[in-house]
Amino acid sequence: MKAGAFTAAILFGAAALVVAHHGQVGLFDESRIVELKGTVKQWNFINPHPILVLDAPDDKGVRKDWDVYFGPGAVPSLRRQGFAADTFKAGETVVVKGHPATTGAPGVDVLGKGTGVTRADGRSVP
Amino acid sequence: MRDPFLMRRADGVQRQDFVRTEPGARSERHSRGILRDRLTAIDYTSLVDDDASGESMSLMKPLSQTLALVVALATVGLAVVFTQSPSPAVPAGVPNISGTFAGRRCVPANSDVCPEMNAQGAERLMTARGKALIAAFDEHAAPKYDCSPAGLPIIFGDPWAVRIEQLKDRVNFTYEKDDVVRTVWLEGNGHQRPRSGLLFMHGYSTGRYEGNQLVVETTRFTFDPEGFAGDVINAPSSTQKRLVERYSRSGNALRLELTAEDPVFLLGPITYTIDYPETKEPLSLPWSCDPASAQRNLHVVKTKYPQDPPINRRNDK
Repeated sequence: MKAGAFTAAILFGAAALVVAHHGQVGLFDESRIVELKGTVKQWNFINPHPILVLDAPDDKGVRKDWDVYFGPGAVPSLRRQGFAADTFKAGETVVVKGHPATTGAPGVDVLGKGTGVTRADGRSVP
Repeated sequence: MRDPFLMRRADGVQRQDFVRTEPGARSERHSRGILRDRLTAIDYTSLVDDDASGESMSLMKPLSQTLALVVALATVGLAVVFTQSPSPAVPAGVPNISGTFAGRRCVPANSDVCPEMNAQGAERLMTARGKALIAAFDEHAAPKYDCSPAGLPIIFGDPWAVRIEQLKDRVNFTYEKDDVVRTVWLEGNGHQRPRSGLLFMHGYSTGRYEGNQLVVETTRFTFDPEGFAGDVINAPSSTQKRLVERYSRSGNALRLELTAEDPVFLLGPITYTIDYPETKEPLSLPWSCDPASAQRNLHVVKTKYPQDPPINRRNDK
């Protein structure tokens, strides 16, 4: 697998401890965490749900636009966590660990233990 | 042209730009005008004495209208200048439930109806016709992807803040979520009910004080495919939905004891209790839901009806 590519199907039994918000029920596989390394295409810090769009390869090396969600987070709650409209810059490299969409669509949810976003130098965001 | 500040509807909702003041926050001019109550500064000064106006637009006589407009504009100016001023004092002799409250805690902790009905709750509580609608409903048809605001009681279970202002003849609820403002019309103040057949997304609410509680009764809801649960569960509510909310203080928290009934879709009344801790943080407004962003969530949701043509949504800007 190429460096920075999709890291498939890391099983985290503890992920089941994550208490899902009603808005996420069934949309993401909370028993799995995948890792994406890619470049930021867009950071839409707007309601109802801010979304990070990441250009990253899938497990076959095909580049896709991935939608990165932050649970049921909206601007007020993410702002309280330290996110802002300028948290991500287009073109910067980030690593995302999140629960994959159950439909197989290119989307992951950053919510709960084991998930998160880090910058190229290893600093976590926010 | 009518002065928008003098326009009023029985549900207190108006779709006009307005200036709002937020204690501890800068004043903001809203351009979207979605589901906003009319200018609260006018509430404070009681400029318009036509509380029995119903849904009709009330126009004052030219001279008094001009005077009212001048005073209203002056009041707006003062409101903008004194953006740090606190909320109006709670009327004497009533329990104080005013304040800003953030987050929610179900009492007891989460059940299958609180903070929102889940799949088990829907299976246990919904009528056969309710379950049939749930089975047929496609998430892609949900109004929220067009930024339709959360309804009641769903918004009570959302984790966002609410501000309550008690005025002499009404109580205003401003929800951070979806820019929703509700007016509860206090009984005994001559407020005329909306004419028969008028229905509202957030219903028509009247209220009264009983002991240490504000009791709010809401009826006249529109049909809502997500009236009791949204987000994939999609439990509907009907025009027969009726909510009774009882608000009181519980330490530093606001307590809501809710009873919801809907003979069309619920087998019987459901009740639950939520505590909302008080906060000193101002509301984060405006919410300004972006339809394109809302619809982007559908990227990870499968439609139940892939044989249908794709939905090309129209997004008004």
